[in-house]
Amino acid sequence: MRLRLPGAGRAGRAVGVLLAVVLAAAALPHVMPGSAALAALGPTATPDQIAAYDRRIGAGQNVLSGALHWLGGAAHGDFGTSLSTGVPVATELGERIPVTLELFLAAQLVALAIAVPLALASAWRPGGLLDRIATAGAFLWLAVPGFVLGLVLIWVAAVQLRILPATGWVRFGQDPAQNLKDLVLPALTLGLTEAAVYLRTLRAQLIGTLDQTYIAAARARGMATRRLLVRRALRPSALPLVTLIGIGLGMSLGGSVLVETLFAVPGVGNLAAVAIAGRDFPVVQAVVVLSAVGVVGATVLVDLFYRRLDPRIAHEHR
Amino acid sequence: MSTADLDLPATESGATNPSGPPVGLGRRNRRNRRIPISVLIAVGWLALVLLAVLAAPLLPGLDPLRGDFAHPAAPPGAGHWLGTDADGRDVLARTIAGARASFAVAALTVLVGLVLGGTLGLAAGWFGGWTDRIIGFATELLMSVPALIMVMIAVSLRGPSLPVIGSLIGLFTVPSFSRVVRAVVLSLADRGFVVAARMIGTSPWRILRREIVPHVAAAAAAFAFTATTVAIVAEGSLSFLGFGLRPPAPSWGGIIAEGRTTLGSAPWISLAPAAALCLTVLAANYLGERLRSADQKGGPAR
Amino acid sequence: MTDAWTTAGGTIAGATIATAATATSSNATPPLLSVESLSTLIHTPDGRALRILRDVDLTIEAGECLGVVGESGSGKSFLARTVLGVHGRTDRVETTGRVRLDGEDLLSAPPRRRAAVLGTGIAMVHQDPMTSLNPVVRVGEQIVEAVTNRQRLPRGQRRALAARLLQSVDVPDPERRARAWPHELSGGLRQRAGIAAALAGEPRLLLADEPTTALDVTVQRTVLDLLDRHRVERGLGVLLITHDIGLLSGRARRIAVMYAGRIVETGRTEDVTAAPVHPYTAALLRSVPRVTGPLIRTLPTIAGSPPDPASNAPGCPFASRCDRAEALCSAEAPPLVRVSDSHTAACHRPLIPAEESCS
Ligand SMILES: Nc1ncnc2c1ncn2[C@@H]1O[C@H](COP(=O)(O)OP(=O)(O)O)[C@@H](O)[C@H]1O
Ligand SMILES: [Mg+2]
Repeated sequence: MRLRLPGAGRAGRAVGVLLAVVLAAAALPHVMPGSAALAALGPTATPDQIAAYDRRIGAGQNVLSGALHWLGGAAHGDFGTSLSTGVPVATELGERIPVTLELFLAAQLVALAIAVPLALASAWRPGGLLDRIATAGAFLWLAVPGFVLGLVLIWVAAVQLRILPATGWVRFGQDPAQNLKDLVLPALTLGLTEAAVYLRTLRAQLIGTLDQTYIAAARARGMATRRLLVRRALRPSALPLVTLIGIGLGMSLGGSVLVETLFAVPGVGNLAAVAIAGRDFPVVQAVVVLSAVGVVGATVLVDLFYRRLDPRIAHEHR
Repeated sequence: MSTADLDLPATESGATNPSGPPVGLGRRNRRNRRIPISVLIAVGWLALVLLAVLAAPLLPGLDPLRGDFAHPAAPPGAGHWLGTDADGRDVLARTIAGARASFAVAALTVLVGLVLGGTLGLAAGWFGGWTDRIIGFATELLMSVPALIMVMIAVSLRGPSLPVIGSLIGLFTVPSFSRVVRAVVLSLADRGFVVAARMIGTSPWRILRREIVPHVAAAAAAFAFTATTVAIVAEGSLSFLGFGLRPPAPSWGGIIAEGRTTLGSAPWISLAPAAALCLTVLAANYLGERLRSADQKGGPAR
Repeated sequence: MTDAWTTAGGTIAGATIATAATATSSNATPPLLSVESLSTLIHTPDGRALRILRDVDLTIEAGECLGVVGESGSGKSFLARTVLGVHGRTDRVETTGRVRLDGEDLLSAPPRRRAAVLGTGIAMVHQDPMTSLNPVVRVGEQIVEAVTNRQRLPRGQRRALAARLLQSVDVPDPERRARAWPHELSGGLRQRAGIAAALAGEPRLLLADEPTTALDVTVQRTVLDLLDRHRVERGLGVLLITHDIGLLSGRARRIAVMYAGRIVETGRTEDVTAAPVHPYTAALLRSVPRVTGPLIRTLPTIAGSPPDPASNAPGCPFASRCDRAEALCSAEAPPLVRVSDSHTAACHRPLIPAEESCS
């Protein structure tokens, strides 16, 4: 059960969360006035330089007017200008969001291609050999963090086998084949990590579904096992998985910082890492807000999708 | 997304189902009688790592900083069990030193998460109403911001110190701790023994202390293991990105990242601490899961 | 309307009984369903072996309704599942005996053959219409499964077939109902949909497992009447499972009384209900709610509970609950003996003396 602020529905709460994030993002330069400038310009910076820097990033204004100012700009698609490159933040994001989304989609493909068939086969015979192997495997796999997995993949595929590039990125428009090659390792790193989580979630849900009378009833009408699993059991079991994917989508907009940095993929996450290291506050602010918009937006999307998946939910809310 | 972004596993707190009076350890032990070998192995591994962390400074051979210039990037062998890095430093010694940093971050994370999250969860579940709503909103807010990016920002402003990193990662475990605890409190609130205690006029504090907290503690302890792994992985990710603890006291993530450049010629520099990290995460995950299921099974009176 | 069906069903039912009787006596063709010394052993995950069915024998002719009655937990549903050959997906069930459909033994048939019978040879109607329809699949799609599992049908034909099937079970506005989601239908409509789904494959045998238990009394009757009508129209064999022996009067030609996985008494419905031989049957009859004028009196259920399926105690399973039990009853299991031509019972101390032992 979600908590509710009285008088505010889901939408109201979502707006509240977003406003709070905008405020927090606007407050970033204020956290330690001057410190950002000092950090960016180095210890030799003169007070004048610091003051000029603070003006550019909006430090010294009060937080509320800073937030309003930012919102006003954002409403017109103006998120400010990158301090380090001088490129408008909106332009920068516009180039990087497609890259991050491509990576996200590829990772989801990897995760689902592994998790769904394994979950179906495991749940059909819980406690069977395949199930025990898959369950134990997923548990072991969960202990491998993304950066370790990425490193091992680089070691195996790029260093030992020399079949894939370790890092780098060519846009799909430039060279589709190279783009797909560049995509493999980062997508595997993200996807394989997700696969274990998806497998566990879907399997648990499927086991519950497969014990339902309606599954036995469909079997009694002569439905073959494969068809039964895919056409009748998967959908009623998909809600938690859809939630995970949706939240993953929302978070991916903020970028998967680690994987994009590790493989030098020029997505939003990479941008964020570089901007934070360089105290490029306009960029950082935009990424933080974008990420929150992604998470909140994904929650709403997931909710809408729920209704498609399970007609009873649409019914309840009518 | 993925472990990279410090996401906590979906807490199965809703399934936590305590009931009846608290089950003492003694009773649980009697029921299970034997401790499974897998638990012994997990506890054993964690104990070994802890012991190494505590004992390493006392052992002369395990100086993480002293370079053996005669043997740079030496593969694992007799002199150096896990080999040496590019500067001839002993990888085993560095792995142990990395464990110290990682464990320190994890300890601070769990402390912050447990104290803050536990308190908020107790308050939300016990008082309900506006308290619950406000805490719920704060929780949602905290979960909507990109945790890893926020910690990176903080590190860039405040510097990569243990208190900054540990307490911030801890802050982002607060929502999960709070939800776990809140769920337990809610499931207890209308249970017979709580209602009975209320009816005979026991003071709320006493009920909280005597009836609620023991149950909450079991669930929170199980989750503390999960938070430990989250902290270790998150700190590792930070280090990997260059936002983690700095030399001379790098964590596992930092050491792994350092070895990245020599992955082709000397993979052990990265892979040895990586293996240690994975095993530790695995052991903590496993114990957390065992505790959680023991808590669920131990609950319903049978 | 309802009343008209009842009358029609009753009359035609009488006619079918005659046909069925002829079929038996001629003995030229095998019965539609013949179950011979069917026993099952379930191996539970914790290592126990449960004997759920023990030496069950029964036959059903085409167009005949056999009532199977017994307390909850006596193994009725398990019997239906075993006849169908579909158990819980994780159950380890060992089955011995024969289940013949039109003479063909399904238990020894290869899996493909058994699968081919599902839905088309034997179909099942489930107890609870609320849980036996998939909540996320439109009603029409589920109803036509017995057909679409075997051949691809374009959507238009599926819809038309679903509507036709719903119409045949008296669902008003069938086109719209076929497109509905299960939660949009009432309990009675859902159960009709369940029956339509069972009839879709034009089965010869229908296993109806307490098809009306979840419905309210007025709906119960129309649903049972509906089953009757299809039985008569299609010559459908029906195994009607219920815990309410009163429900079978006028509907089932014969009754099999089940207790602890055994058939303890069989006979023509009127014989068994008028003069029960087994004390358990008599107790079941006493516990039926009877309508006396405007007053419904519920009589007490039978004291005690059925034995644990895991127990292998000798003797009559009802002995501990039976007020007529004597030493022999708990020492030796009573064989099924013939009371009259068509009436058998397994009891050492029958309420009516047995004529001879039947093998
Ligand atoms: N899959 C199973 N595993 C173990 N025991 C079962 C299983 N199915 C049924 N039983 C047991 O078999 C007995 C008969 O059950 P059931 O056929 O459902 O009875 P009825 O339908 O007459 O109420 C019960 O004691 C039940 O506990
Ligand atoms: Mg039943």
